[in-house]
Amino acid sequence: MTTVALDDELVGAVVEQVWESLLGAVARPWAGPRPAGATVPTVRAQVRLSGDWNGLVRLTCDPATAETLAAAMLMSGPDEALPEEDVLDAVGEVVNVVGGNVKGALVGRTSLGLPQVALAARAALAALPALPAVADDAARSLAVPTSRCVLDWHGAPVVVEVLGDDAPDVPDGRQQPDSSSQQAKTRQEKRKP
Amino acid sequence: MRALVVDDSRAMRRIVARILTGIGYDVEAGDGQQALDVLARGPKPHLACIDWNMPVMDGLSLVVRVRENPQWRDITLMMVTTESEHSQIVRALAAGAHEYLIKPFTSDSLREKLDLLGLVPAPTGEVAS
Amino acid sequence: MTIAPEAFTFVRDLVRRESAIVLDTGKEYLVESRLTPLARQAGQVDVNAFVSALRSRYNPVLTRQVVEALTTNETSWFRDGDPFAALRSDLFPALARNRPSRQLRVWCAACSSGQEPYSVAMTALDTPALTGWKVEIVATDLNEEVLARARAGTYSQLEVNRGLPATTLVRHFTRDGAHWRITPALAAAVTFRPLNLVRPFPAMGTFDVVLLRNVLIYFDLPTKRDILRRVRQVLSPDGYLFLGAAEMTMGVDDSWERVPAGRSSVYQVRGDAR
Repeated sequence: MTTVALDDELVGAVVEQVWESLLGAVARPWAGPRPAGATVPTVRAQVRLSGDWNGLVRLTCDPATAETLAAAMLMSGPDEALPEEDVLDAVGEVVNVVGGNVKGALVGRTSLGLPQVALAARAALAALPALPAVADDAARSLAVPTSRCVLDWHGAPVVVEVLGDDAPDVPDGRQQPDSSSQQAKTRQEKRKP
Repeated sequence: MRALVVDDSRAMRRIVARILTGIGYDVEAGDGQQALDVLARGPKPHLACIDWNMPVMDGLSLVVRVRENPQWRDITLMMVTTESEHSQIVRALAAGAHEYLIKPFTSDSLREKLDLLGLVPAPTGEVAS
Repeated sequence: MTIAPEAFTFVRDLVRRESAIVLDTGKEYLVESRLTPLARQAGQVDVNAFVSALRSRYNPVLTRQVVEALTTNETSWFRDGDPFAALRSDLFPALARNRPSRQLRVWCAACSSGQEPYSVAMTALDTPALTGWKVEIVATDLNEEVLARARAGTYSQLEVNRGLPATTLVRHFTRDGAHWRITPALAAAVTFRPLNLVRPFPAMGTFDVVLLRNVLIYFDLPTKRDILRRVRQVLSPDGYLFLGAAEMTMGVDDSWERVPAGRSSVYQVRGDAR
């Protein structure tokens, strides 16, 4: 069996397919300045891969972009304002599908967690119900992006990253896996009427 | 024709439900746990589209539960999931799923899977050529 | 740039006419992104200019490239189902009764990215009457680029989702990174080579089944007639010809007769024309 490099090409191929079929859109690369992961104001959706490979697949964008991503995915009309929980759920599902396909490309046994979605800034989506914060600030300082792909979504950047826990230049890079109960809670909480 | 869409993501439930409704299905939707309630209450669906990774009850367990019940034997089960390893597909088929559609998918690919299963409702007024 | 509505309509009609694949409204993004490289190659400033040029003068080669660019990920395995069911249930068993050599040869005459010849190969491998037989599939296409893709035998997740039963997928494909790869048995069954249907066919031997589906529509009547005449010469007397579901030989070449095959129909050379 061939060893699969978890590189920009693989992530790009997965993103391209997800964009085409799930969002009905072309995955255009972002031509502007590279947004720094930590400073983009943000809806952040992530899913954990654990097993023979450990890390996160994460999507970051601004809240308005999350709304238009969700609208494209759900084919909601311009008159239909999506409830915020639907927006977060949709973005979570995008990262879930990207994560599943990245996992499928890896050699060995790896399992996929449930998506977690959180707001790192409360700009346009201020009215959203509080969600458990994604405990990723520590993680980000440890994990070096294994692959990052920045897309242009109607003039705004959408960042898709695959972050390995044990990037080679991180001395003690193994981060604590998110507890599965917390992940489950995220999805369940979203489903409350 | 009736379909049950089982996914913990509301967005995905809505996407699958829209495609199925478009080809003439009556659709109910819920997560893994709710699916068992819907099945117990009836009416029995002809088709269930089942996600794999869900909290409380995952899709594979649901397939096993449905297959254990003789009353539900004639429900066609299709996994609709982002789990996409060869071994996962084999596992699901062995557990009793009839078909397997990998996310992301298009409405055409879902329709073609139903076609393979003989589960596309015939449009009214169709004339055999 | 966004594709103009009339350009989209033209391209959608073209693709529907030539491939029987329907691009729904809302696939404008697809047309735009897939045709941009072709527009650039043709020296046009954008897709709209490219489509205008295509409309003003019919260009069969460019037309085929446009259709191929737009049908990537839209091409189904076992396309139209019935012909493959007929091969398995009726035609392969019927041929098997009359071939003491235990060999069959099939020609896919417009194989594009390979879904059709590999579907034939999978059908043959799954036909009990052909167990232990040598089934050779020759797959040809005008376009070297799609032949290279077909030969590689790797398909995206979206492509394997199209009409391929899950049981067939796990039997005949293995996962290879973000893609799926055909098994060596499948690869060994199919030989790819470039071929232009308009020119005299190279020496290829005789075939028991020819699939010439959704390709005659590209040609005018005299060319269609000529192609069908030459296909007759490479088809064994009891062999079968498949055309696309909406195509027929009637009025083009009356040496053929349409015979039912399962839920489908297939053409054979009339007794008096053999």
